[in-house]
Amino acid sequence: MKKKIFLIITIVLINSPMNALAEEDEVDIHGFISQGYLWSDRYNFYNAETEDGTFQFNDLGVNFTTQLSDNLRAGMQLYARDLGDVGNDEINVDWAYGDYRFSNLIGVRVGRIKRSYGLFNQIRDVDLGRTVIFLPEGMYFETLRDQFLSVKGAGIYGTLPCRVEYQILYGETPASNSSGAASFLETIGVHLIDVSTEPTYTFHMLWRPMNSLSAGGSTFNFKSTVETSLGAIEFNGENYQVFLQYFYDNLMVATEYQWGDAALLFPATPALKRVAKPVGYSGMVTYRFADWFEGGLTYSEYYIDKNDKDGKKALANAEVKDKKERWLKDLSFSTRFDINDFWILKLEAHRTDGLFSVVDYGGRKKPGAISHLVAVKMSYVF
Amino acid sequence: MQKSVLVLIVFIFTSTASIAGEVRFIANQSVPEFVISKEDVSEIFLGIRVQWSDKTKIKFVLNGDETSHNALMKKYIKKSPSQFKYYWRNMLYTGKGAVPKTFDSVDDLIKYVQSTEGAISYIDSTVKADNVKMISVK
Repeated sequence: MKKKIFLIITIVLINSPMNALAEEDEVDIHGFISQGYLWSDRYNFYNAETEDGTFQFNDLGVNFTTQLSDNLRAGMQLYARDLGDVGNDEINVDWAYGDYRFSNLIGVRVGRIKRSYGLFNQIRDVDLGRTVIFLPEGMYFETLRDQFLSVKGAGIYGTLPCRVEYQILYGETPASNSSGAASFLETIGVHLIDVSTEPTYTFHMLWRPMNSLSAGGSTFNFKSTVETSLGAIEFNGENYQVFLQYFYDNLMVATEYQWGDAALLFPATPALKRVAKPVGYSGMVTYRFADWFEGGLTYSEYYIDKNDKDGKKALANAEVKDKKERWLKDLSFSTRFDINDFWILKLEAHRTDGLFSVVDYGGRKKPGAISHLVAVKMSYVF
Repeated sequence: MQKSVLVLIVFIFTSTASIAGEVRFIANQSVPEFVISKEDVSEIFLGIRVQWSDKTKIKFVLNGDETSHNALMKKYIKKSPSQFKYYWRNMLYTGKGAVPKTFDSVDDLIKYVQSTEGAISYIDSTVKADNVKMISVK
């Protein structure tokens, strides 16, 4: 595997111009590689041994695109990541699709397409295109990234005359046995054997009433069946998001809100059925202080069930070991240093209340409420 | 100590400030439009609008002159140069578009616009350009 990664890096390093106009029939190659470090003062976050400090926090992406004609583009991106137990530097196709743009109003994409939801899901792996290291957990779960990242199918997109951009997707969610969900199941003693998904839809709309202001909404559903050592588990649901983003000179302000329905069904033992109405929201402010320095502040909250925000019902029903597993309140402060056009260093500190994103809290009978996580990430873009 | 901190803060806050001049838009003679709106400019340089009214492809390129580029960002795109760079990196790494080409030489930029069907760009209002169509922004 390491040989494959080395080969990709070698191919890419000899093709590095960031400022390139993709001429017809030419293949444009770009990529990024990053290495990070995570440390927390208590608990292990994101499937990683963060309490001891870990370097198992890196990713690599290489993309190949070509403009086949004025209206037709094709491309693919290979992506590998390691986040604790997840990914393990296994190379996957991140996206790969053909894109035919008929007009400003409509275009068609076929293949493996990044799912648009909220403001940032499509760009969640594009670390170099934002200030923060981790997107707000209240909106984008790092652990369940693979479940919501992309769709294998087809979609239409375009821009309507009233300055509304839209995207509609239909297809299956590519499933992986080495996903964050699989890793989570392992921590509770359940071994994942196979994952299958059914086709689902995604709608996304973005309205730009002014050049500096965007507002929008999106929705998608999910249907998957997980074969485990304890039998089949069906995971179904719907999710809705609304969002707002504003730019003023070097300032960016964004806020998002999500809600939905989720159900865990156990066909062999229907009485174990679990339903919830998750809700989450976030606010983010970033400011570019200098050409080389940017800072940001992010706050988000997430509750697995809006009707049981304090987790008392879940604890009474023995669905959780501790009621804090039912929520997450995260405040983070981010800094970004653009060393030059190719090298970026980010430092980020989190103050977290709740255990939702904590995969392992060490079997402590009474976990504390507040924990802190520090993330450092160095990226090279080409 | 306090003076040093003050100087550092002033340096940080002022080091992004840059002079933004006036720009005018030049296009290839084939481009059917004579007048476009401010919103059109934003949509063109963000890759949202991809075709001219006669269905030919819009080919926009960027001016490497910092003053002109900052003027475009401030007056029309309403993003900072770094936000604009993020935007196009996000487009690139999600497969939705290629990073637009930047010309460091204004002569080369004008030659590109002269010779490329559907091309549009922007130059400092004091720079002379022949054999291109001047596009007004209403």
